[in-house]
Amino acid sequence: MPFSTVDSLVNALNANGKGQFLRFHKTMAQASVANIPTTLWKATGIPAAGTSTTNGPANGRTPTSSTTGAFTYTNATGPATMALVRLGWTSMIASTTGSLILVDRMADCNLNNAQATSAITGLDGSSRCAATTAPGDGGQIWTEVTSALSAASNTITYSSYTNQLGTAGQSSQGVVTTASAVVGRSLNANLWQGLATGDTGVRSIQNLTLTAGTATGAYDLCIVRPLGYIPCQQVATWVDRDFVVEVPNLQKLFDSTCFMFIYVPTAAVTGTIFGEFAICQN
Amino acid sequence: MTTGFSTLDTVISSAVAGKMQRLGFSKLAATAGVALTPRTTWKDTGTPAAGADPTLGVGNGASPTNRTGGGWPYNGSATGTQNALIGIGAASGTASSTGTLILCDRQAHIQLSVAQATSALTGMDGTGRMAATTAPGDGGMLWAECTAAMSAAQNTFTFTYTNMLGTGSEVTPNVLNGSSTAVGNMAFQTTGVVTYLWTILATGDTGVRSVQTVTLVTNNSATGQYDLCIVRPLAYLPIAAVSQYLERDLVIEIPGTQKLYDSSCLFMIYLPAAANTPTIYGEARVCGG
Repeated sequence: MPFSTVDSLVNALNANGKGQFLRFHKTMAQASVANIPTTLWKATGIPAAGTSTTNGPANGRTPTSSTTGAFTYTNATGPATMALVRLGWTSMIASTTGSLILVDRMADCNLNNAQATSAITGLDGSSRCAATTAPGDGGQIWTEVTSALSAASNTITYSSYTNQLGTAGQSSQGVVTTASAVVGRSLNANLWQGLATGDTGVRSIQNLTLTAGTATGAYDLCIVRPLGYIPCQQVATWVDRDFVVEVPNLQKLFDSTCFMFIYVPTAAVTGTIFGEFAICQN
Repeated sequence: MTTGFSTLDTVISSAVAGKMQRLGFSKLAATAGVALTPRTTWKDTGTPAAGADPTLGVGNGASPTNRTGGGWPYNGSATGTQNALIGIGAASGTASSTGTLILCDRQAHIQLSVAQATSALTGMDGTGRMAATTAPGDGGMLWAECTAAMSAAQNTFTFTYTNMLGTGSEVTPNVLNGSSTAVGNMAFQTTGVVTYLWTILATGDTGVRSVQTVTLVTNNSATGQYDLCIVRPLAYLPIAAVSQYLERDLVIEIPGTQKLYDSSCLFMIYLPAAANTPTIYGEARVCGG
């Protein structure tokens, strides 16, 4: 039972007080690399810094709104549903312009860069996915370095994943890791890692194949759902996005969504940002 | 019975029926700001008039209202209605005065010395303008503004508070007073270099209802004073270019229609993009429905 009219949103926000205003304030744990997507999962501030799973392919998990690092909020009371209605932010450090991407961290698993070909367990975001009936539903593959990579490249394939339609055994495009990649950044220059032809999303990942390389380091392999994108073109200058009328989508938020941000910086910075987003149930 | 707006039509009908209040403001900064460092407008001169600090001391916390000097005067909601913030606009009239304005309700404040010994605080309670503690709860953010210039030396302290769910004895991470911070500017740093607009809370907390104690963790003989405040952020407004008026519709454009508790003590925090002594003018619109 989602919102059916603008009036129902006005009623929920004001007359019924069903909005929740989630404030954030984050300082990056390390310097970014210009134009390379960087996680804010372990940035300090509000909410507190998140943590990785224990390293290893058997340790996948489904983080929630109660996991340290996530934004604490209260789920909708059924049959009502929760939706993202607006997002705003700015930065407090020189040169901290770029784009911010609000995502649901649906599943994650910490792996070595040189993890041998193996099965992965627990890397399953399907509890916060819609049905597999066409067009189906799934997240994107996001990778974030947690221990700096050594000065060589590996090639990794997520050689068995289940796509948006529930089709198992799909294989990603090869991921060539960047030599000497620093902590926090994507494994390569990609925001989302390439999927098999025709696929639009990933529900779970079952296997990885190390195709080439022995470079060391570690990373979080994540399935994330992008929820909102917002630019910051000028330091200290607030930017808002309305997701109802201005940029319509009123994205449904599944219960226990684990909110986090990915930041795409225009320059190498150790940024401090703050902002607020609003969610509301009908 | 309090109602509030149930449709967009009721916002329009209330506004044209005379239930809207236009709260004009024009403020000249009392002190120069520092680039990218949030500063208060509480004691800036103009309209509304400059506010005053609470008397220094742990026993002098207070909950300022719309009738407190420095707050924006406006009328509370009529019986059976509630006020909501429906719009805000502003521009700056001073070169280089770009940045961001944050309109807040100053729910409670207390003035302390950075050398304040560990003590209980009284009167530092914003619950008079908060919703219930049932999940998700409700609380403000901790904001601190320098009221007497600080020394280069830095003391370390924490605060014990009650969170948005009514859970007491929550403790902030260590905070430091700013080093050589000037009057008006944000008073705290979380480490020697990192500054936060809102003081960091315990893991999982999203808000503060009241503050019970200050604990002096490390005394490095720092000097200076600050107002510790519980504030509710109500709206954010960019000033992207000098002398160019920007507005936010808070009903449709940026949905919020944030409930305005009666007696809210409205004031602004300004994040300047550059060092300046700005003049800022604008208007907020409040409507009862």
